[in-house]
Amino acid sequence: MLKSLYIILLFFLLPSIGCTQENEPAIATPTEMTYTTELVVPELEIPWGMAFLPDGSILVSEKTGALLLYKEGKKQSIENPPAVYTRGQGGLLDLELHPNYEENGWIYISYSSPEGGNGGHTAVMRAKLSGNRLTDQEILYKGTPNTSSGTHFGSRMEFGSDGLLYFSIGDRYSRDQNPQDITRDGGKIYRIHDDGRIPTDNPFVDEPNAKKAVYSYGHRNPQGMVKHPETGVIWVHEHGPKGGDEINLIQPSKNYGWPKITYGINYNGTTITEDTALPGMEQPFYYWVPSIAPCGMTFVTSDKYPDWKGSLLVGSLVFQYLERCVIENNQVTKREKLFENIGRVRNVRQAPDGYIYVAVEGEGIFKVVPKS
Amino acid sequence: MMTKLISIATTGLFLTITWGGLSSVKEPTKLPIISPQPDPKAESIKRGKLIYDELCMTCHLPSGEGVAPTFPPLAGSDYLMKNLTESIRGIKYGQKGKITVNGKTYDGNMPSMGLNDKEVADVTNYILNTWGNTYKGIITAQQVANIKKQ
Repeated sequence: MLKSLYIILLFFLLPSIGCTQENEPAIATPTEMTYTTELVVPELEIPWGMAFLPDGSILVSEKTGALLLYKEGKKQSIENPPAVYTRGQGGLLDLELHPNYEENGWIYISYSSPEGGNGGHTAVMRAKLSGNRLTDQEILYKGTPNTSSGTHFGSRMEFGSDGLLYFSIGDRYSRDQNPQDITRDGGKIYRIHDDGRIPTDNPFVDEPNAKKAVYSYGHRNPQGMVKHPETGVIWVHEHGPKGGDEINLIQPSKNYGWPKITYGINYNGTTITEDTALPGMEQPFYYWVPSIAPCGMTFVTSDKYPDWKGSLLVGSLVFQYLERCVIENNQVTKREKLFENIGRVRNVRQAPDGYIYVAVEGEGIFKVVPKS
Repeated sequence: MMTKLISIATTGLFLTITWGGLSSVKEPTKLPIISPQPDPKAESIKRGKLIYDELCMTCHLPSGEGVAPTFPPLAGSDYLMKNLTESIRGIKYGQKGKITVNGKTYDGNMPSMGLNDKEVADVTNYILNTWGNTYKGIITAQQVANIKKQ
């Protein structure tokens, strides 16, 4: 009897052990650090987006709704930013410059928009900077319907090699309604023209009732997006539940599985799904168990950091460090924690000057520099 | 062992049938009209749980245990009970800087969640009366409204 009881117990315990097993490779602390950080923009609350303008100034979006221009050591408030729905994770979110910014001056802004009432949903606009004012605002996309949920807005944007704008919207806390349904917004990666038009070769343009801007689906809450410097593929990472944060390489029309497959579990320890893989659903390039709560990502390509060249840098909100992923033979072969206890890392980008900038909640923007 | 199990199962089955049978022959009784007397505190706690699950649980975890050394515990937190006004201010406007919770120092940064005063009261009532925490009174939206940013 006792023996069979053990077997029954084992039967119940095994799946949970399987779900919470740490994924390889284990993260290591570097034995020697040749770089350090220098605070360049102080006193920020939740700096979400960073855009590096040709004149060397930095445009920063604060989740609270403020748009700031940091120029020649001074912080200037930009007037007329879009109205935002600030509940929970909502607010003024990502910033991106048009690839031809110097000619056309377009700045892309993602934010949780309250337009239409009853809560909010992620929107993308483009606008221009005129002195200390945001002008020429054009809303290019707005998720619908609004909900009062303050979570999972996604928000990251990146221009692809095709000149089109990719952006993410999270599942808006409706995992059973949104991510697997291409007729609904949320839990998707989107692709649009720089003026908001839907590309005629988007994967679901001929699907009845589909949201035509959808490029891929089955996502939870993607808050990191970067174009691979060599392949041009859009890399995205997304927050999982408890465990199961993922890096995904985005391909058109593909289903990335949330919530049908995941390496994570519910926060209360219960199972979301028994499946980590199903036919017709993509496996992540890499997954984190335990969750690091990834936010922001960039590839190191400049010659300022010979030790890190080619690595992927990812911010960790929960462990409060910058993670360096070494990628070899199409997999993550090594993980390192950089700048432990720096604070909640909300964003990381390599700027046109070749330096890495790290946005940290409650602190500001740090520049990564060689140790003198 | 097996016989015992079978006998328990049979008894259960028998009872179910009897019970079902008895209730089916009963005359439908008219239910007295009970005017609902909602307990404001219980209702507030119920609403507070939904807010907690949406916005607080990812860091403070489902049982309020937190994640040392980053996210302080809410279950059995001496700081919370001794610094109620400060705690409510933290939920309302965000909390930054060093605090000591159950002998451990936390030096984090919790952003404001953008809740209205009623929602702050609800989630506070939930936290104060869950996971073994008990609080005799009730936090009201008015009390939250009176707590200003410092």
